Amino acid sequence: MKQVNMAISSLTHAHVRKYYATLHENPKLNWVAVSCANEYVANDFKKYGYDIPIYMSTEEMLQEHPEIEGVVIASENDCHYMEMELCCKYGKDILSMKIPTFDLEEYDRMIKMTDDNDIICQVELEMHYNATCRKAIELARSGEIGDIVSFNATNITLSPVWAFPWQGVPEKSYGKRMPIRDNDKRFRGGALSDHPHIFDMLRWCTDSEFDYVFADVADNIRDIKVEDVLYITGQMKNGCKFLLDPSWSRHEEKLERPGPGWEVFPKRMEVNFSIVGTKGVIQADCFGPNVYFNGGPNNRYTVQYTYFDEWIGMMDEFYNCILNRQQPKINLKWHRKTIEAMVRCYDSIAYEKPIYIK
Amino acid sequence: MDNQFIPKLSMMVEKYSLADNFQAELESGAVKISCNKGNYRFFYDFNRKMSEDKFINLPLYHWQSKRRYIELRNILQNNFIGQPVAMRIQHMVSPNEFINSLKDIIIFESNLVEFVTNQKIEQVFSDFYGDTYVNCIMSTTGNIKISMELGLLPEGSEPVLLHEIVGKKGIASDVVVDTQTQQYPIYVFKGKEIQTYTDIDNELFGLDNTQIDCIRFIMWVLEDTCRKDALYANYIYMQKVYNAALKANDTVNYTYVED
Repeated sequence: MKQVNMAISSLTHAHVRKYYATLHENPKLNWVAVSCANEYVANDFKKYGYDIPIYMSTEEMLQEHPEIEGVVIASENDCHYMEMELCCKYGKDILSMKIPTFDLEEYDRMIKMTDDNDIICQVELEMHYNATCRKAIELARSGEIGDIVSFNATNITLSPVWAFPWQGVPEKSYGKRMPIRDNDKRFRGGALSDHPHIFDMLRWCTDSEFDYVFADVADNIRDIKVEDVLYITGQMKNGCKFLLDPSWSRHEEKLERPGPGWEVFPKRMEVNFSIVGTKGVIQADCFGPNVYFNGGPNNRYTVQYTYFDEWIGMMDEFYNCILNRQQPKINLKWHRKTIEAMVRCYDSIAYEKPIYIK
Repeated sequence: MDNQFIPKLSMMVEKYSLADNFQAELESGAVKISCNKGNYRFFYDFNRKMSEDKFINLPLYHWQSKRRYIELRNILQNNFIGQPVAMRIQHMVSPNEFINSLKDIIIFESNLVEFVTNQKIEQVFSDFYGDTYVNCIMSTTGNIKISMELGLLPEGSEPVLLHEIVGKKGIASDVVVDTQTQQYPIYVFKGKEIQTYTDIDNELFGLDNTQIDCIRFIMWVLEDTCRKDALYANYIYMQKVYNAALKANDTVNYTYVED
């Protein structure tokens, strides 16, 4: 079995711990090196005990290890373009975080850059590899509930801003400082920017693109600069309705390092669907049922998740794409319409009206 | 309403000395009562125009007597979850005696929002799929944002019901964490058949829970009939919320409720 040589850059993204585990455990992947955005991140990585070379610059890592074939760009959103440029320069295939960029012109330059350099670029939308999600969407698409009338989904989590502060910094998460709307002290770049999955699932399930979006934002439940609770509704071009909740509406302890006791509400994260058809409804919980305990650091009743194998399927696809020089299903071009819809949701909040998408 | 409703209602009115000379009868979509405190028609079919006669027409907001909703309101009133900022509602059920149309569900849930939050709905965005399904986003006078998935399901479907309130300190919900469906106090497993029972009210044991809520709501009005004016005014306002939803659907705009 041929191994693919992998590296992870920056290590500042909230999902990076998943990549540590996946690269460590997947025998098809040979974990070569990591680059760290700063000393704090490097020291944190050392605590995990992996015997992996650490570099303080992604470019230095790529120069030192020409054998690297693929790079997981696990950086803050505003660093993705720069890191993609480096990967293109050194001819490395890319696994991009879920938000390549919210700047659509920059996004188009990313597409061109990877195309011009024959770089495989997969976007990490791991829900595609979640079995419950896959089954629910297969059922809906097969006509099990008749024609799909509305696709409603939650992607509700606690907020990662205390452990990953950049997610509360508008310039880093959204790419620039844009007020959420007039006479509001908050900026774009919060919960919505963290939750593209349900937009993507909606497109997958309906096989259609966005016609219009309408969004409204609630008052924040946290004292942060970006939005944390919002609702979105709208219609796809095929007439299917949708209602999405991508909020950080679950409270958390302000831990600097995610771990036991992080959650205040027993279930720290959910992705649930109610897919309404002309003949019935599919209700799906992509992360349940689970096991439960009380105790832990804060003696709280807590949901202990039992299924988390999305990263295995995702990395298997990335591996196959590198080996066979194929573009993955979730590539930059596919994902652009999801990103555009999310930007239009911010526009809808700003202008307080529905936004149509051509 | 079944044939136990009137006897049970009369029994409760007498037991708690709520009225003298009490008489009640059923008509389609309504309960008519006559007593020393007046003549009232409590209607729960919000699509029918009620007769204009000697009976004062009042909406039968039976959900306001349901313990789970009263307790959600208490959670907010007692500041257990801090200032509420958002509320998420799912209400998809098979048509039944109390829910026959989207209008019935919109009035149910809009009034419930006002009952639980003690705020008025001010703005509505909606997107209807015919007369069977609608998505809404609403905003209250206190800037609570509400999302609603409302619909009518094929006959015999399990209900999809959720009321979740997001507060600055915590979450209140009427659905158990990590579950998706309604829980019942009693399950009977017999081969392929699963039988559920919903008995929760010993005083009115044996009656359907919504009918129990209807009785308790009528009792609440009879306790103090001055409540009728606010009740009727609220129903007029609920009609305006519904009209705002229709207008929002037609114009695709975030629509203010005309007051």
